Amino acid sequence: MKGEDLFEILSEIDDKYLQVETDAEKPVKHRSRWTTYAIWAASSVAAVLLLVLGIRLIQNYNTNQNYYSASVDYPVAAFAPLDGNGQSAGALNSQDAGSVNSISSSSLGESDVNVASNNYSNLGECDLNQDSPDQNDNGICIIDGNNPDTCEVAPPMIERYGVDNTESNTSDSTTEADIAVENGELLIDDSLRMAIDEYGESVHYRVAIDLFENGVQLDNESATAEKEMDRLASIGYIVAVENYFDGYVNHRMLTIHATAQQLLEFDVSPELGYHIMLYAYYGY
Amino acid sequence: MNDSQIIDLYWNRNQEAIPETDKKYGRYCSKIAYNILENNEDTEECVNDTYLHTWNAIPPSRPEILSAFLGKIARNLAINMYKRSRTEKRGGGELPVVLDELEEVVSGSDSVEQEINKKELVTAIEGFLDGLTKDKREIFIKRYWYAESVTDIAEHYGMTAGAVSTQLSRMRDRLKDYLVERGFEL
Repeated sequence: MKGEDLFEILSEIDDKYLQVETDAEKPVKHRSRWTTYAIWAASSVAAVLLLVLGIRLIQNYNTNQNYYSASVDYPVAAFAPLDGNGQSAGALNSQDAGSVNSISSSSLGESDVNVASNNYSNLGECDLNQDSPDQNDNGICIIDGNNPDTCEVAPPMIERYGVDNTESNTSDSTTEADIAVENGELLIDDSLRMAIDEYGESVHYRVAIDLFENGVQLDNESATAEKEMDRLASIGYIVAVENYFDGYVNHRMLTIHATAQQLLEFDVSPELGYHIMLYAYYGY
Repeated sequence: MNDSQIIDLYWNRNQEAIPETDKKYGRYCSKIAYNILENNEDTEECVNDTYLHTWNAIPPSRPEILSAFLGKIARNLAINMYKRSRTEKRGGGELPVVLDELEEVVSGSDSVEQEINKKELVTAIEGFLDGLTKDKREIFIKRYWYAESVTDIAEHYGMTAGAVSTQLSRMRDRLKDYLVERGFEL
């Protein structure tokens, strides 16, 4: 006899031995054809939604990658400057700056952050998935909520470098009070110069500017300071007057958002002296 | 619908008997057939044949336990289908392993000098089953009647597969000794 024969003979045993609890004895629930179709349709829709969600997540991940790489590469990477309404103004470049910048005296001091007449309507668009040679690799992609497939590229803007300017401002241990810049002279702070040496034109710089007349620092609210800022705006610099209240005193700061070239080839007025430093020089 | 009502449908030659049987015992029959055949198409065919055989068998039969009645038909049909598929080099799955295990109980030879009285052998096997505890008897039946996998049995009883295999092995040894003691030279 073989095992197979014994297996067959087992078929003959009394029915009472077969009443064992088995999952197979549960009644079968039949699905209708439409139920099956509905399940398949729902599964298909879910799969498509997951696919779309995945693509969006990947896009966001790429966007964040741009942001994080900028943050890591640079001491401080700021987005493009904000306008008076807190909206992103977008990219800054020398062409835009040269054509649109101006500042009026009446606007000075009227808002905390007053970037004068910035018109960035000519911003270029880039495809997130394109590696366009025109796109600054260090740029920050700002997604437009109304047009999420495109983005505006704004180069990172730095306002701080590794040196702690609040404690040691210059290499020769001079203090702020010691600085006296003669007419026609330009003093670029060490940390700003180091930042320019390292990053060059790949970023924009948010700098503060102290003006001197005959070796004496001008009051930032003075007519001479306002007039000089007007002049700088008229020749292509993006200038701003920013008010910062530290809880006790309101600080009125003259700032410039500029490229490295604009800073290194600064158009100095022979009637004034200039001390330019990164915005965080003041520790703000 | 209870079993008695389903059987009445067969007796009244009401064709609703088939879908009602399928609704209640379709999965049961499919499981029995699939454990032997391991093939969906063959299983479906086997289950359909089971309903046909049941339709032909009732009446005159009036089974006391409808599930067992259907299960036996499904099992026998599946075994026959398995034999055919084996010659066609098809099928496989759990049954070859089950048959290998049962080979330990028998001689494995085709040339049996002693004519086996099947009815007596069945009675002897039933006596052996009666001597087992309920759990062990069910494990034996699940394995050698329903051809369920050791893994499924272990899961059902919350045991490890190794423990189930050990129990089955001991029961095979005991069955062989039990049958030999009663004069069955298998």
